[in-house]
Amino acid sequence: MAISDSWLTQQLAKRTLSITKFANLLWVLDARGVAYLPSLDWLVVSDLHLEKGSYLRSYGNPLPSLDSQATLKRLEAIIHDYQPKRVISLGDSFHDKYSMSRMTPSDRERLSELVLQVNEWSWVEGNHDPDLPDGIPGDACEEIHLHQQGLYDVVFRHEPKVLAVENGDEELSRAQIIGHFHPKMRTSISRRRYSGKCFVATQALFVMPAFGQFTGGLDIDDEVMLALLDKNERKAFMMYDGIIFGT
Amino acid sequence: MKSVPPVFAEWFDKKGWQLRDYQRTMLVEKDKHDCTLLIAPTGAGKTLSGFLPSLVELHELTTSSGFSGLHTLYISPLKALTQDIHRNLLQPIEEMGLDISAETRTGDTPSHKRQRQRKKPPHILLTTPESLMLMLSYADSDKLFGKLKRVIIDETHSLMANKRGDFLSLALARLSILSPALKRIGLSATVAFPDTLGAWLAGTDSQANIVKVKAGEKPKVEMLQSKARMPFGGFMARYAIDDIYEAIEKANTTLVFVNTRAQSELLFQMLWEANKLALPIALYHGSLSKEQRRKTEAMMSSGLLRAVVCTSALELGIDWGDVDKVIQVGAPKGVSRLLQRIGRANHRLDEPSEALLVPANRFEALECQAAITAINAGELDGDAPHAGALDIIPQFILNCLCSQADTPDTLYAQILNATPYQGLDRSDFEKLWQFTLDGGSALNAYERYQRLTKNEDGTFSPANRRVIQRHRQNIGTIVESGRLKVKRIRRGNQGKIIGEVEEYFAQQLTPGDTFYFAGEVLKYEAIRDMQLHAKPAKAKEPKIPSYSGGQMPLSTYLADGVRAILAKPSQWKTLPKQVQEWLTLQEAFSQLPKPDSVLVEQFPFRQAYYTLFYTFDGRKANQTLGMLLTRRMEKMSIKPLSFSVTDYGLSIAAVNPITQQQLQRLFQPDILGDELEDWMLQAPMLKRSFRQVAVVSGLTEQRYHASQKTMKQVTFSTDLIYDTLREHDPDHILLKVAREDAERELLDLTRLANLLIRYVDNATLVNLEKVSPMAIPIVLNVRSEQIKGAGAQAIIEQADLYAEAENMLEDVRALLSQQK
Repeated sequence: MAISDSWLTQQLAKRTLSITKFANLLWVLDARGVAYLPSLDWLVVSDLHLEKGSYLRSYGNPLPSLDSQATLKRLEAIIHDYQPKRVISLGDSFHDKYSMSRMTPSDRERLSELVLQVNEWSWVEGNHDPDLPDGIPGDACEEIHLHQQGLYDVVFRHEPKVLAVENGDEELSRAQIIGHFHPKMRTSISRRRYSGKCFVATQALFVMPAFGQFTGGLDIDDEVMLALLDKNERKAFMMYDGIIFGT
Repeated sequence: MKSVPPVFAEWFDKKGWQLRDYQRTMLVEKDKHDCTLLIAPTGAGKTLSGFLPSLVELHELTTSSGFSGLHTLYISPLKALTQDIHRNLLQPIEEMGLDISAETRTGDTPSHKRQRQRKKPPHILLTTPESLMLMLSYADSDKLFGKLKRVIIDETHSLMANKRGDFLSLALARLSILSPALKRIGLSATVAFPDTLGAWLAGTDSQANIVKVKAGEKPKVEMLQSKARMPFGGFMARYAIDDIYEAIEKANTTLVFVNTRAQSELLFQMLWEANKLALPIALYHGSLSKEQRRKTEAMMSSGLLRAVVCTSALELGIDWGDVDKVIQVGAPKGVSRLLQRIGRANHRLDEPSEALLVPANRFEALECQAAITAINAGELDGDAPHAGALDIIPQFILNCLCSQADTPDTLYAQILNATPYQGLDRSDFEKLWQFTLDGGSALNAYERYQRLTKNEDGTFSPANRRVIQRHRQNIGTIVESGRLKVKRIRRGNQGKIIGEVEEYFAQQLTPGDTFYFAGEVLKYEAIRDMQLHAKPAKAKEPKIPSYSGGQMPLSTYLADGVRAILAKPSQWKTLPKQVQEWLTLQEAFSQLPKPDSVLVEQFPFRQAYYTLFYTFDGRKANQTLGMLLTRRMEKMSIKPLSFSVTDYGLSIAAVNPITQQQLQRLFQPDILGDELEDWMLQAPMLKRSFRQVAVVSGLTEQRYHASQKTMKQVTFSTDLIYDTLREHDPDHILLKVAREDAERELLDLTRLANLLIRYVDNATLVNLEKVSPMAIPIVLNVRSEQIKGAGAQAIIEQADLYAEAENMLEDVRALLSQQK
């Protein structure tokens, strides 16, 4: 924990942070695209998609593979600010199985240093990275359960689980923190249009924005998103030009 | 007629034509000059004059000893023009029974025909600059062009001071290496600076012999005096539809010119609705499919149409016979341009062309008046020459090496021969060479930028076949914004491609949306396989596709003309009455812009303060001024929100109003120092121009294999490369090139600097309670540039979206203190 009362007040005044409640937990939402849980000193980031650039390049798209560097640098700065006890990377951290073999040595070093500097680093598996590439420090896991006394578990996983019937509605009523969808949104305030990546949540589901340099987005008004997050129930926090605000 | 062989003389006689004096001069002196520039008004038989020396020469050669191979190359800036000229050229060849072959070769030419043309070239080949460059990249280009005697460059004036012209000047320099005896002939419309154009054409070492044909009768140009109410703003001239229709009805055949494709679609719709007599009226613009355009061309030349609504796509050369009236709807933007358009009417020298100018709003009326004054005084505006764009150099280097291994020294010498590049520094060339070789220090780790290898004899060649292939697929200087083909669906998935729209427009559509295209209303269904599928439909308010790059900036010359008119109320007599009233009203309500100061108005509007700067310095300079002023306003906590520009002025919306003292600090030349530097470095503008540069120089490609990349993909990758270069190799040559490009093409810095220096401490602030008559057209301009920063954030803050977060801050504080 490195953040202080005054830092927090300052950032909030600058609108680079917002705070919300989800699953009985307080969440500090950072306009740089990560969420921080002050009660646990955990930092959550999702969909890094490292080496997506070089992946596309190997399929003939003439892109430079400089995205990993950019992603890691941004993450470094954030971890420097929060110095959390634990970092959860919520899946799709690596764009594909061979990501590491394409990563430049300096980026690989940068990644290792970053992971080792945190006490506990959890790589939650995602559809792009069901297996953690070799030689990466940190722990791989399918999902992370957080037990709260007298309450349902909070589950950190990449994709939402649709409930098995035998569980009744038990599984659903658990709060899930997920990534995968890369939510973004558009809004208009006093005749001006704004658009950007966002956090979006309902009672049961909390969707993280994609952090990777090369990640696109899915509009929260897209059918897929609407089916998941009811329009009347959802709350979104949009990131725009370095600030974040709830809508 | 001694100067021509008998068969030519007979043909002229049969046609009842006389060889004109200048045509004779060009024929007699055909071997005397290495370079001839013919400057003649439209309708003077320019094209035939260009071809006559070649036809006579080829006739002599083929009848005596026989000649095989390429003798004459004709280069036109427009693909469509090559088709048209080809038709016109075949006619005399056939009628005289000459044994001369003439063919076209453009991007549309099928590959079997191209193959054949390489093996057995025709005597005369009609082509475009891009196709020429491609042919120059072939290993056998020395054989293909080795016997070339003449090259004819049509519409030469349109190639001055732009990248495409730079590109062609390099291709010409290369041609002269392959065929040292090559003679150049330029055909041009009347221009303001013939000598500069001659220098461009001749190349660095040579001089052009300029043949000038006296202009015919001055055209009769009038401005529409409509009874209908002329609007303050807008570009569509809806008010004048009945007048336009009436003019079409009175004339035999009319060309109706508009400035953008979107305008052409809408104007066509409106005319169609007004078409009580069901006159045959057609639509023509560059985004319609080839088939559609051919159809219109054919109908026009066979006299089946009464009018065509068209864009600049029809401005150059194509001869459509019996047009007797030209209507220009919207502002003319430049005198030369307007004359070119007017020249489409009555292709005969001895009769004056007739033209009607229809201003779409009151500002445009001023501009029309200024243009008419200039035409009557016989004056022209023109582009000053510019130094050649550097991003073309890597493309040219690679192009030469694809054809033949060579050393940097030789290529540097060749480049210096192209006039726009005569001042190219060796050190800049070295950097461009290095970039072509391996991408430069920040990029040389990437295999794809290793484009050249050194041979044992010290020459360089492309590294592999892929490099060559990629280069050939991407030759050219025009970076297109992403386009999607429009398929007009009849049933199921079946239908016809009728043209293209920009990716950006397509992305805004949701199924069920309707839009105007190719003269009808279409309903958007879906995007499938890079095609936009749409069905004919009916709708009340269809959208209109917009196309980037459609807008021409107001020429300095006309801007001065407008200022002069405003300054002298005695000159207002010739203006439409409504415009006079408008100016009088402005004078009463606020002030009129004066020649010796810049008028600045301020008023509250739409929950913000609007500041209006009447600069009259063209869209680009105003755009730049807007960027710079809003930056300084941001520093001064005025919280700017957005700005919009027209050719006449700049309007900035901000949260706070400005004071006279603040205005003095804002409108200062030093804004070109601090703010410019600041802003250039992180400007989206520079990224925009870097995108162009990246594609042209071969850093990234628009086409890869057969698939066209969407512009979004190109943007995405070049923005990233830009950031990397900025960080790791700030001196990279392409950054410099992007900056020069931006300064010239996007910012119009010279013009802006002049403005700021001229009006330093001479800006008058007028505070008003509401929008002034003159401000209306500028404020109403829908396209505004949003500014990120305190202003935009202030709006979010006002919306009070933070209350909840503030409330929870206490809870978080409690948690933080527990953990300590």
